[in-house]
Amino acid sequence: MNVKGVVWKLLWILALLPVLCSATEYDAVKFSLENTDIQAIAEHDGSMWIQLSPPAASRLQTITAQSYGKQLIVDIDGISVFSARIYSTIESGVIQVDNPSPDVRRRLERLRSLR
Amino acid sequence: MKGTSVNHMVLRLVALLAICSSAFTASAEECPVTPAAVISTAGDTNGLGSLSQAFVVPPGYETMSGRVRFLSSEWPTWYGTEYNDTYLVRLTAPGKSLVLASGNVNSSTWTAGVLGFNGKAPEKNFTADLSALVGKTASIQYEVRDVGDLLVDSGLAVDGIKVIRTQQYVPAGGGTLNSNSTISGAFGQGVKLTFKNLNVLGTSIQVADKSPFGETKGVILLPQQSVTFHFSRFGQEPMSWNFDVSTNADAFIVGYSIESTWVQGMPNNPCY
Repeated sequence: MNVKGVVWKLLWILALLPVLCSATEYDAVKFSLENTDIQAIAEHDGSMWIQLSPPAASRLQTITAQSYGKQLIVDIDGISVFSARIYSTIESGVIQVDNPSPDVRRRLERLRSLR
Repeated sequence: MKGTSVNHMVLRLVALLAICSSAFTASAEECPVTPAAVISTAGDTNGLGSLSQAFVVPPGYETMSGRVRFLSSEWPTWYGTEYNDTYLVRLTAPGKSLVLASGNVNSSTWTAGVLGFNGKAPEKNFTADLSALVGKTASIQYEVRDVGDLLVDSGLAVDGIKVIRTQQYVPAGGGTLNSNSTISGAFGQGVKLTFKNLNVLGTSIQVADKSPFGETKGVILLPQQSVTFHFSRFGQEPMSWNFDVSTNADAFIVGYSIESTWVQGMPNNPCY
């Protein structure tokens, strides 16, 4: 038995593990945002509205153009905000968060206060 | 030895995970999905196991698909005999009746079984065109039938039944405008507004999305000329949209049509 070969295979599997884990079982894609990706936040009719910075808006446009029909999970600073299936290329850079959880609302309000 | 047996139809509903791990190969699901089920002839006086589900075909979802696996304890002992149990999957709707899958013990190939049956046949996938049935109620029926006896049972494992989205944008209304107006409604992530200048004079037209961070788009339309404005935002569907349509022209007659990624009758996004 070639021990070296087995070790290499194990190392490859370990290296690929994060990639394999990020492709969720429901064929979802993740859109991660940081503070600097957010240009403005507003509250309207009980929903929170996020206007992305131009680079983040461009990322959203690319990901929505390439992932039609997949579940898009939006997270901010590691906190999952909401998810929905992608049915349109989003060119506006606007994200609407309906019925945000108290935790998400607090996070977004804090980000808004920093602007 | 063959003979009669206990008497009523047993419908065994099995958890999705149990089926995925045993009768079928697991795969990513697309909503809406019917939970997995096993229809069995066990215990029925007439040797019939059946299940049906009615559903309204949503706009933009013009195909359905699913998969079944025939299970039987007639195999291996009674394979090739008159105990030739059968199964059938049928789609019915006003003016339509379509067999999506069918078979019997003797026409199937068998390997060691699952879920208490001696044998399992290969998975069979099926699809159906629903384009003529949008907005109508269709029904899918599954049947397994004992043939020649009521003692040795057969079953049909059903999984991955889904109505598949085939259109991105679906018509969502329209009309004519002859002055500044508002267009509003529950639409989807993407909304396309197409305007056609019906006047003999050119006109300006501006469309403003009134939601936070909404865009304003405008153009000058020559007579009989059309323009399509695309608005989008990411979120759960349906979502509320409000557009102000305005003009600087004295004479303004435009026809408009709305297309959206969500219209009434479609499942909410996300659906659970």
